[in-house]
Amino acid sequence: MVDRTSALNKIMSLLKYIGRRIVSAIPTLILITFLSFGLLYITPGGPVEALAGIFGTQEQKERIRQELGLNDPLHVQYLRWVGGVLSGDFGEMIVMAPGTPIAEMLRKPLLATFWLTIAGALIALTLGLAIGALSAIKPNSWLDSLSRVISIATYSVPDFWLAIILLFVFGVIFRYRWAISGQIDFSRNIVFSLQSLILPAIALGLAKAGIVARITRGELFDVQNKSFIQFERIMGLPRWVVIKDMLHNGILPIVTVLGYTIGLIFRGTFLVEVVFGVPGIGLFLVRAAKTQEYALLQTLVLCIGSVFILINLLTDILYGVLDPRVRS
Amino acid sequence: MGDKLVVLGAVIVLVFLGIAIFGPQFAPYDFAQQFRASPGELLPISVMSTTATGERLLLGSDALGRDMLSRLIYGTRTTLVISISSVLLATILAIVLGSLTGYLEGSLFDEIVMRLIDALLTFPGILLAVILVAAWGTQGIEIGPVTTTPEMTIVFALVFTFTPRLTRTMRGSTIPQAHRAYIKAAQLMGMPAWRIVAFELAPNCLTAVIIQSTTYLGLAVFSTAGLGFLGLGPAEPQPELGKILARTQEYFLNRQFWHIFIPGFTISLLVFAFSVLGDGIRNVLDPEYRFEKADV
Amino acid sequence: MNAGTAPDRGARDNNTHPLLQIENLRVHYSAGRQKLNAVRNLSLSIDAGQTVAIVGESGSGKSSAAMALVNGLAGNGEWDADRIVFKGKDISRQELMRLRGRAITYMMQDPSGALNPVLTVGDQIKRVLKYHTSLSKAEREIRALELMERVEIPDAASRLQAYPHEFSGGMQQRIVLAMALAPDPVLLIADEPTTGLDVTVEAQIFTLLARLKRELNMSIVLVAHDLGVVATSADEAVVLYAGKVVELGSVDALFRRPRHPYTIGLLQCAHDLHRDNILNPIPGRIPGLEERPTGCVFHPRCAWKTEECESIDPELAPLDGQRVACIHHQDVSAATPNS
Repeated sequence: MVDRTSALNKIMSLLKYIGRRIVSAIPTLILITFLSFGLLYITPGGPVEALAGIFGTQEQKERIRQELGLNDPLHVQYLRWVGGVLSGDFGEMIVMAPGTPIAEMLRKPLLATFWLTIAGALIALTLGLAIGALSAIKPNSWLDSLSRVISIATYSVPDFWLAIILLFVFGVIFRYRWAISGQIDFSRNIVFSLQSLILPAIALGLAKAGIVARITRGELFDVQNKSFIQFERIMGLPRWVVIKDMLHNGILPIVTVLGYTIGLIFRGTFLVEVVFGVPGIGLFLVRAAKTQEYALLQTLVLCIGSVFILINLLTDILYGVLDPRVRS
Repeated sequence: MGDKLVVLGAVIVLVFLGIAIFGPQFAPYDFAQQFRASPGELLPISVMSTTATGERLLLGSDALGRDMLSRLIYGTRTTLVISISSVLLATILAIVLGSLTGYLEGSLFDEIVMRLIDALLTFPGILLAVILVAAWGTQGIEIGPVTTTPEMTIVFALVFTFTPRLTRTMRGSTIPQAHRAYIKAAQLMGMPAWRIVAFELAPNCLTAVIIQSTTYLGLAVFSTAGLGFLGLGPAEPQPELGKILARTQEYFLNRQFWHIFIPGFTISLLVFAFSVLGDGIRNVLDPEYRFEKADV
Repeated sequence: MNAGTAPDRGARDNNTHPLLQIENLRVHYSAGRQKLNAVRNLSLSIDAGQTVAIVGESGSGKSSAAMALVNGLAGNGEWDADRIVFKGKDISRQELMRLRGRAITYMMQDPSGALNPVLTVGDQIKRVLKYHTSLSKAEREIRALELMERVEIPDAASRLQAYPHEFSGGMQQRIVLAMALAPDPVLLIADEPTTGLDVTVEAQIFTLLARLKRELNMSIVLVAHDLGVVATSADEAVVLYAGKVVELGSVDALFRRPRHPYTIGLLQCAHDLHRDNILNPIPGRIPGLEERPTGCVFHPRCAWKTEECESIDPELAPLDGQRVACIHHQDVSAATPNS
């Protein structure tokens, strides 16, 4: 009975904590909508100039104004835009593929970037956690020194350069077709998509593994020397119990590393996508930037911002599940 | 091992600074000059190529027949100027904003600035710079009578990405100082707030923000090159390391590995040197420090 | 003999042997190729129901000695002893190690760090019971509550479900004590149990320890730097300086008639503190592990130093029930009046 009430208490405090986190993310989300909406207005010449360059005459400019509702007061425009976003209407493409709804354009790139991020993060975390944990267990060993060197090296090497080298070696020298296809679309060809995923994911993962290893080593090293771990050993608790506790406490900071790594990889995908020609949102963003496709740019900013808010939120929640201290 | 690394980093940084400052003196050619193998034919891309007029290009030429070595030297200059000036500007801005928000902790001003910073921090690192350059365009912006150069656009974008975290750091070190006796004394003496912040408070809170900004130099090089790589860098024919690297994909079919290697290696070396030097400076100024995620 | 099981209370009371005897305990740390001696030839004899204090400044090796007894030394630390006798039986180091957490338990210093932050205190106490007693799940529940009440935690039943960070430092140390008492030990090693706690809480903890020791008839090895604490709570004391025992004896005798210049210095410090006077510290500081002097380790700070002290490392010599390691002990005791 005692167990049940305590479990109930735990769940209640956890739910309260999650609620608080979600509520505190809302203002940031609203600010992000301001930011992405405002993008249209910090552009040189404003949206009409940007569009008129393509459409030409003065009349057409006025028509664009009417069509986009740019003559309305700013807050009306903003609310209309947010209303559209909430109902899934992000506007239409004007330059790159005139008339296509942006929501439709974005589905596949989002998925491609999603898979790339997951694959890259998987590599970075596996390598980083392993190297970090091994060097934390045996500090100042040859392994520790090696991992330090690797960390510094991978920390300095830009992921986009690594990507180019991989592309060069596998695509140009060995001529593997899968290496350079960049086609990541699991709805079409799973095997081929997986193959195309390999090199970009390795480029991303390797470049960030060093950072992950460095953080992991620091955190695990601290946990090992915590006095409660020593106390448990001295009290003669079985070895596996002590190791389990070390992992539990060591995993707390690693959860933050996890969320952080995913963010790190996600932002690395933009450059690597360009190298491999992966049609993800990074490539889209760059193309939107070059063609000044503003509605697309706005949507992308909103998307990227929301993704990061979500990653942070999930990390916080996971942290709350594992650590009673942050719940209260 | 740590000390040797720091010295190595310092030496590399000095060498690069030398290249950036004196580059024009010893760059063999103009970065925009196109060489030809024969009249009417661009120079083929290869190391140690010889032009129609008999010049020998040590690292060969790029796809447009321009001397690679000269472009690398000028490119390093561009990258370094953009990186260093953006970190410098961001630090100054952060010191002003951080000390003000720290002094006025809890005020409406503080609240608004910190919320804005939260929102900007949602786009970590290079992302915000990409978005801003994308919105502003790479052609330069007209601000009244002045038209900015593309380089300035990039600097502004980078300032926006570095300032938020630096401001937080500055604010963090200002808050405890703001409640110290010497500040109270200055307030009682009727010193105006701006004077207190500028002459009493801020000078005592600089260590942390300076440490952080030195570690940001490597990140700045990384971001500048990244932007250039994405095609959001300075306009042609201005060379920039990331841009040079991006164009190496054109050499792929010639299998000129060196051409792919050299610009990327130069960027890596710069990032490496700045990071270990930054670590070294931090270890001197703040021996208690431990590696943090905010540094990347 | 019954190393693995809970000790038999009746047998303990009738035992004529000392509970635990250690002969020539040595602890050293390896740094690179160097071996640094932290404790040299410390011999202890603890009778049932007795409190033996190991006294010294920080750096004297007292915590290393205590940690060695429960095999809790840091990774680069090793220990050895000529003989270990538990309840009259010679045992090996491995056998001693098997006693830890059962017959011998340990109370950490730094209560705020000694508890696992992600488990409730109830779970932590019950876990010790699970691995070191044969109690059933339901019995462990009851016993955990009993232990919480025993260490005087108010509202014990509901506090079992609280996490360590929800307790004050003094309460955290009580929980550490509850964990240490859980397997019903015959010997409790308390390593500066009140570090970081304020004076009133410190007094409460020592009162509690004294009461529990009486009620449970257990022995305590108390590691302390504060002679005031030693005077009120210990029966015997070993004075450690730079890894070496300089004097040992009953607390009464030590306080009445200290024989070693270092003990005298320590006592003066303590007296001065009590009189609210300016501190009269012993000049100099304790030498680090790698800078131990030749001869008597204390000679660089000693007022009685002669040339011989720089070369002769004095043995512990018996003297009216005390034992002292000083070649000038006769002169010293002649010059120092009984207090």
